[in-house]
Amino acid sequence: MFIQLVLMELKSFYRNPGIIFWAFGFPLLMAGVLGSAFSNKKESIRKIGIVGENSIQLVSQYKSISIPENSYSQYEFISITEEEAIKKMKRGELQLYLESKNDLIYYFDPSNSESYQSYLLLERLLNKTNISSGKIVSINTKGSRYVDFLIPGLLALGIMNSCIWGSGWTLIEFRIKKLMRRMMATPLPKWIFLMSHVFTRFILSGLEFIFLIIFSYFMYDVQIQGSYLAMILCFFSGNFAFSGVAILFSSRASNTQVANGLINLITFPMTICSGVFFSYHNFPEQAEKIIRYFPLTLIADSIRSIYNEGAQLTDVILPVIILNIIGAVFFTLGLKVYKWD
Amino acid sequence: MINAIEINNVKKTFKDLKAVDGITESIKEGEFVALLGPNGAGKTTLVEMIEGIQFPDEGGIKILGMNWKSHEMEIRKILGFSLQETKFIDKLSVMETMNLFSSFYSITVKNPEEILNLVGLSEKKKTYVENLSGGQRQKLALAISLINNPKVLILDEPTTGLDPTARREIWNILQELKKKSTTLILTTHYMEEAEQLCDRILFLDKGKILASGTLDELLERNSLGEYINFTLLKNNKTIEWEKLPGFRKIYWSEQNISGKIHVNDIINFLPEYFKIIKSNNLTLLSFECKKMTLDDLFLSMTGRSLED
Repeated sequence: MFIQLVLMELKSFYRNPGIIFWAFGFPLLMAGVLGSAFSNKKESIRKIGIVGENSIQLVSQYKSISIPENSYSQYEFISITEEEAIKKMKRGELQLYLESKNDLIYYFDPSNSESYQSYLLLERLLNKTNISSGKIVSINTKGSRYVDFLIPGLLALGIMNSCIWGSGWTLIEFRIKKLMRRMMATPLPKWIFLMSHVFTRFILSGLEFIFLIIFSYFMYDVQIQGSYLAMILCFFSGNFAFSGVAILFSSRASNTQVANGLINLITFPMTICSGVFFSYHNFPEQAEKIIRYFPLTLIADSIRSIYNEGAQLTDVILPVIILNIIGAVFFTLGLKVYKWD
Repeated sequence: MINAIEINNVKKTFKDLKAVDGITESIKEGEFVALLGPNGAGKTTLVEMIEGIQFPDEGGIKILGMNWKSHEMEIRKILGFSLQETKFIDKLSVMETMNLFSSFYSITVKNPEEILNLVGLSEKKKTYVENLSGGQRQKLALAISLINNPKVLILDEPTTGLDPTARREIWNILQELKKKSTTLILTTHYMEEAEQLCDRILFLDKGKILASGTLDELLERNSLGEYINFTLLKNNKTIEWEKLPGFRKIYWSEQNISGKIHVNDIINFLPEYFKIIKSNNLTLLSFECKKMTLDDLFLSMTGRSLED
């Protein structure tokens, strides 16, 4: 009796490929992806900016410091202006910068764990070599705090989830329930049916977008420093791109397991890799080149630059064009292969 | 009189399966026609081709003289139907669902309230679809099919899975529609439904029409006679039933103890039948004589029951 019950459970487990993937495949996949970003620190390099008049001198001095055998960190020291350094920190390309006056001064946001870790490691290294002890200047001017990095990422993520789960999932559900087939048998034109879904998403994700902007403004004083028009353009282009993606992936799926798998296949890698929660500059260079052009990365980077770097319309025009091309291509492909019954 | 539907040598194949295998048929305006057949007979494929949801590999279909290729929108406006197993949106109320579907037909929309009255759902108009019973959902599907005041109505198994009371309620609604000279095609595997509602019955099996006519015509034309159903305690396989006078065919159940004999003339057959029972010392557990029904007719034509 007991054995039969256990067998029943095991059979319903292994006869369901979707569950097997989520139980075994997905954790491994995540481990692989995140591992490549965070595990092999010997290969991933901590970029440290050095500012001030004597920066070039310091760079060559620090470069000559030999890294202990047992250290997992490597450093790349670059001579840079303070303005550049702040900009790079906002983008997550630099974790901290330092200046040598009488003492060493480390500039970074202590609430950013990656920056803080870099500081600790670097401080220990420099102390060991008796260079000098330093002090910390906390950089938490608007645009360079972790929350300034995070909120634009979350706004972009909201657009993606709203389109993919909202439009894509609803369309697949309509197909599974045979409601799509029923509606298509009325005089309702197909394009009106699809556009109604896309338009509804514009409204709903627009509201989500505005709520998050207002919330983060009042709660964390996260402010848009760039062009509002550019922001609106990024919002619409992002929605258009992901609506296209949603139409394509929902074009054939007719059961919930496939739908679930497809949605997760699209959203998870981007959620993890596209620089929503942490900078994608942690990934190996080759991967970074690809990640840069993920639709979610394009939206997150554009919104982030508008928020934190005061980007204007012209600064985001390239990603906006790419996003619209992605939308148009996916829409066209989706409509070509769409299964209406 | 113009034909409401003309089906001309229609064929449809799925991989190796000939779902519809060369059907030609005409249905007059105002006629109620039942498509009767077991599961997999090709009923749904045929009606979905009439509805323009699937398209034939060969042959053509005309609705009120129009074909799907050049008059798609015109046909969709005059056609009403309910599909097998449509699930509507759970969180919409009955009336909201009606209004949604009304909006798809811009010109000929009937008053949704009136239709809900007709199908007996007016009290449920504010109820969410998810809270409707199976019968109420079927009524909603029927109400939606009537929303454009259709000239041709196609219902695919509208009462499957319903209890007898709900089924009768649907039949009453359909009988009301008959007075309005709507053309109806109904697929079913309940012979009683076809008998009650339809002027004409089409028997479908393996993608072909086996027979067509009114119930009386079919019974008259295809197979006069009666049936004897009986169950034995123990069978004797050596008995040669076929030698009895008026014997036509015998069908045994799986265990070989329940039989169904089709006979020409029960008066001559019965005395000889009982003689055999007695001389072989067989014990009869049940015995029944009855007139032939559609199910019996279908069995005699195909060797399969309608409810298979």
